[in-house]
Amino acid sequence: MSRKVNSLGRGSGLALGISLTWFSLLVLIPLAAVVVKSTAGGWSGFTHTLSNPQTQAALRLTIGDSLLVTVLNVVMGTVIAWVLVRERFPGAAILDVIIDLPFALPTIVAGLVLLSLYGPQSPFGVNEANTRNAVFLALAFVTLPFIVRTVQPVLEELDKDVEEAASSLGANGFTTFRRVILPSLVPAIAAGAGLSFARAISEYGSLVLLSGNLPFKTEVASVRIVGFIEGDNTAAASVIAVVLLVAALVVIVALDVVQRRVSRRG
Amino acid sequence: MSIEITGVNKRFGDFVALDNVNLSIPTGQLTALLGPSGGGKSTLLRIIAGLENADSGSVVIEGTEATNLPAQKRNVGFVFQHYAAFKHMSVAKNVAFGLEIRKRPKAEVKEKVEELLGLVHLSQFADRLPSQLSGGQRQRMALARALAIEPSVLLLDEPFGALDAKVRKELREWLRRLHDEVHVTTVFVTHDQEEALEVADEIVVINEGRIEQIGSPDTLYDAPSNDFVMSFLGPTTQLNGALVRPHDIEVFAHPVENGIPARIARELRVGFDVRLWVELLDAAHEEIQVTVTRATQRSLALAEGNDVWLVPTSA
Ligand SMILES: Nc1ncnc2c1ncn2[C@@H]1O[C@H](COP(=O)(O)OP(=O)(O)OP(=O)(O)O)[C@@H](O)[C@H]1O
Ligand SMILES: [Mg+2]
Repeated sequence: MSRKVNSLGRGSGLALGISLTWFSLLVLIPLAAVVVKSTAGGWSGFTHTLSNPQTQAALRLTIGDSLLVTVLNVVMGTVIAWVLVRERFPGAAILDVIIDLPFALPTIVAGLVLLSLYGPQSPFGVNEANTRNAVFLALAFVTLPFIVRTVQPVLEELDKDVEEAASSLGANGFTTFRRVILPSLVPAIAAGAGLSFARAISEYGSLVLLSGNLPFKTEVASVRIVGFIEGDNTAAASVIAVVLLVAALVVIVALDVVQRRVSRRG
Repeated sequence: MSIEITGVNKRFGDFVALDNVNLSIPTGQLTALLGPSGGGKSTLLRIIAGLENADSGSVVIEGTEATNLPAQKRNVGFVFQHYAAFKHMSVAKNVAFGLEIRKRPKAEVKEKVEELLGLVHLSQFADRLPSQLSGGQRQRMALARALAIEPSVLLLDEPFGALDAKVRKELREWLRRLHDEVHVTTVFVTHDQEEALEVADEIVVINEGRIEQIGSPDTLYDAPSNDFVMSFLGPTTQLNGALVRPHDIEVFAHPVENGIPARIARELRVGFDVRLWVELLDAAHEEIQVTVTRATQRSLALAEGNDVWLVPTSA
């Protein structure tokens, strides 16, 4: 095998070394620690934690709602990005800034905002406190920007002449979108969806206030983790963490597979 | 007439991009829109294709009133300077695109794509992605894609503009041969006068949104209707207050009747041509350019500092 040309020379070897060390310190070692911790009670401890019905309910709610919210974001995020890039309307610049609000707000502030808008004192009379809708709402709120912000720059960079070529070849707007534009957006949509899902399964601050954390009803995995930690059961907390970790990995890998498939067609 | 353009005006804000353009483009010919950058060539081509709307005026393509037809209904093939390839589709898929839109049977599409890839010499690249092709190959793919829909007219906007000089030259000769084979009415935009003179049956010179002259390459070159066309179609120089071509001045090494005395200030050899900058030995001491062949330079032993006598040869 021929050696790959390394255009950056020595410096890039150093950069690689630093990156790997940094990555190990910040990501790999803590992750490994969590995995090790989760097996502290042995296999039986693991299954014992997971067979608890309250834990199962929390995991089902968390993963199920995170998937739903991500699907919603795939559609809405793409539409919003499209509108921001392609439509000229008054207030576009403001909307463009506001989209980042869920990112910018400390999550507990987001929780307060949601509580005051959709809680018992709702100015619109919409009281979703202590319901499952509250969980979904909070997740949708905090994950909204992910796909908008990954798709938007790709859309801005798309060559106008590619679309013009499609229309001169007889494609209408919808066909052009489906066969020419969408395939170029799929990698960005997939990346945003991965971030959105990962954020949703770990969300805590924005939903604790409005959801009420009712076991079997509105309690999510992160709240369950906090519960275990407060009860000094870090092993059980780590078990849930590992399940979330695996769920995130599965989704990210699945998105990658889908993305490769779709962007190859057209 | 294949394309009839009548009274077309186009403004971008306050800027007049096209100013009352009237033009008839004959069927089956290769017509060049030639002019300086910003002159409105692309705008006119895009209005023909329906990619841009004229503010007023009409476009008729093959007898069909097309002024208000959207691009997708005009059946016009368009080739862009930067290829506009569908990056995620193979070369064959790119070419098949227009046929698939038209819901042609699979077998027919396959056959047509193979035929077109053969025509543009890309058969062995059918399964590659556009990013795996060279610029020249990508542009041939774009051409095949445009031809697939059997367009009533083929429009090319600086199709070879992004390619290097050698490939440009090859492709323009190839385009000429292809046109002789396919015979589709073709309009191509260029700001390279050599390209237009070499390839086109007819040249339309456009400047500042107006048509300066329409004619065959010979007509334009030999009988330009104004100084702009003259200077745009080739090098010019001022002699006795008139615009002449540097190679239309005969050079003598000895005094002749009506010869204008001058002295060679500089010379520059470019291939077979020798460019001379000569200083007129009159009151103004103006410097003008004269082009002679290498053979003339040798036989007259022309060198810097020599005195010469100039006689304009063109009518
Ligand atoms: N969408 C647009 N908005 C504003 N001005 C435009 C637009 N398109 C073209 N123009 C202006 O119209 C004029 C003519 O442009 P056009 O692209 O037709 O020129 P061209 O002859 O094709 O030039 P070039 O050889 O550089 O491509 C230019 O001054 C350009 O700035
Ligand atoms: Mg142009």
